[in-house]
Amino acid sequence: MSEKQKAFVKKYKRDKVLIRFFQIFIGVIILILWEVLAKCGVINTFITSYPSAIFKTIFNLAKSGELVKHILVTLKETVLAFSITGIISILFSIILYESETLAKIVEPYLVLINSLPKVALGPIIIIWVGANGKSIILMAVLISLIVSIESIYVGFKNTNKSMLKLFKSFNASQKDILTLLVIPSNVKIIINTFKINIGLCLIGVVMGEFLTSKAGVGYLILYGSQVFNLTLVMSGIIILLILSIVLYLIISLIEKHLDY
Amino acid sequence: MNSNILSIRNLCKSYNSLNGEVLTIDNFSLDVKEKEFISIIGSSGCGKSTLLNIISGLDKDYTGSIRFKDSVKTSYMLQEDALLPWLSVYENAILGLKLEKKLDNSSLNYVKYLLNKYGLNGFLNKKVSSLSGGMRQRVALIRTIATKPDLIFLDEPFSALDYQTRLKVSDDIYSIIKEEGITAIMVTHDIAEAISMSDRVVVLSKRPAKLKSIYEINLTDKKNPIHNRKAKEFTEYYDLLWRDIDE
Repeated sequence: MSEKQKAFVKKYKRDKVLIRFFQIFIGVIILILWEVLAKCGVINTFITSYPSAIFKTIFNLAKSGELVKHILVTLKETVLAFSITGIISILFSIILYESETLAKIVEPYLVLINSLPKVALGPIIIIWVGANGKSIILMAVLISLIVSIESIYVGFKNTNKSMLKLFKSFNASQKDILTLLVIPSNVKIIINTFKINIGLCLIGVVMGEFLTSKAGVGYLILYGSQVFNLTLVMSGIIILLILSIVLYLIISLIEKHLDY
Repeated sequence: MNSNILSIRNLCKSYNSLNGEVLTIDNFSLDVKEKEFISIIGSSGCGKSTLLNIISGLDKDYTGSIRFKDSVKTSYMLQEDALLPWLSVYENAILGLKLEKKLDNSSLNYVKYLLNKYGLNGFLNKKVSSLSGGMRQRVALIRTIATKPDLIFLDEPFSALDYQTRLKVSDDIYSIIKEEGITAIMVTHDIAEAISMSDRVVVLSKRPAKLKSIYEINLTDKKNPIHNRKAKEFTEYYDLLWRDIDE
């Protein structure tokens, strides 16, 4: 190895360590500052809470079994909404792909629904579907569905033109074009859309839980704010953060194991 | 001695748009003999590829007649290799058979035989991304001829390759076509390629494409394309065709 190469490798490694150090350092400093300032009475713990109290609350929730119960409710709703969104958006994208005319006709409606803030539909959903889990799931599906259809449909439409020509030159049936070309060549786009969907579904579920719920992490946060227990609210937010990271990682893991 | 495998009569093609109708192919007629290698050349954008799309049946919007000899099987080889990256070399090679619902033991054995014969045996289960440009093009050709066509259409099949590979691959593909006894119609803008591979070269005019002239290519000691480039008549033909296209 030449001196220049050695210097390059050394600098590369040093930069990497430095970046990682500061990434962790900033987080730790914020937590320590938050804790210390709270303990010294500089900030009002009634409205900001502080890390050790949040940690203790989460720990107590876990010990009483409440934590698992709330997480499972939110998780169940999210996974259900995510699955429904996934299935409907793939089916709908296939239908739009097969009929360009239909795609052009419904396009303005998709744009319209997409630009509408779905939370506004909350009250209507509750009146129509009832104040139950179904409303929460419907809310989550509405939030993720249109974006999901748009991205998958655009992926389908951008299927490689020469590959399409190749399939046509072999007189491929419409079904073969779909199952052997369009879907396999869009696996990456579908997975990426699913990654976004899982986050959007979680947002939708929490929003739904704010509107109507008896359990779930969203309920925990809402209940906390109603009784002015900010430590409970912060705990809920932290749990939600961890939940969303875990869900994202699960999809990424599935992506890694898919061979394409 | 040869009968016609394909007769094209008075072929016309026009594109419609809101700005009006544009004629792209004007009254094109041609007879193709069995086992013949024909190149169609012309300036870029003259409508060569459109012509090939029509003859091959991909584009059905035309007037005139295209008649093949009875029970002729045709196949198409594209500009890009269009190998599916998520499939292995072998799966790509049998794709045409699969789509035409012709997967059986004899056809699969034929594909294996072809892959083996043309030096791809060690790569059957490899991903196509591990192949060189030349090898990819060979897999694409095997995919095309696995369905046992009597006539194949080649649309600038080498244009995506660098010059060195291009010469080598055109040599390979020429010998595969000749050995399997297939008639070929190739569209190209490369004059040298056309002369070195073809029995006849068809020159098209600028848009709308009309048949301008047909050249019989008679080279002394005609063999494979690379060798043919050294024939003494080569430069004469080159000059002739070059002037004809440019006019």
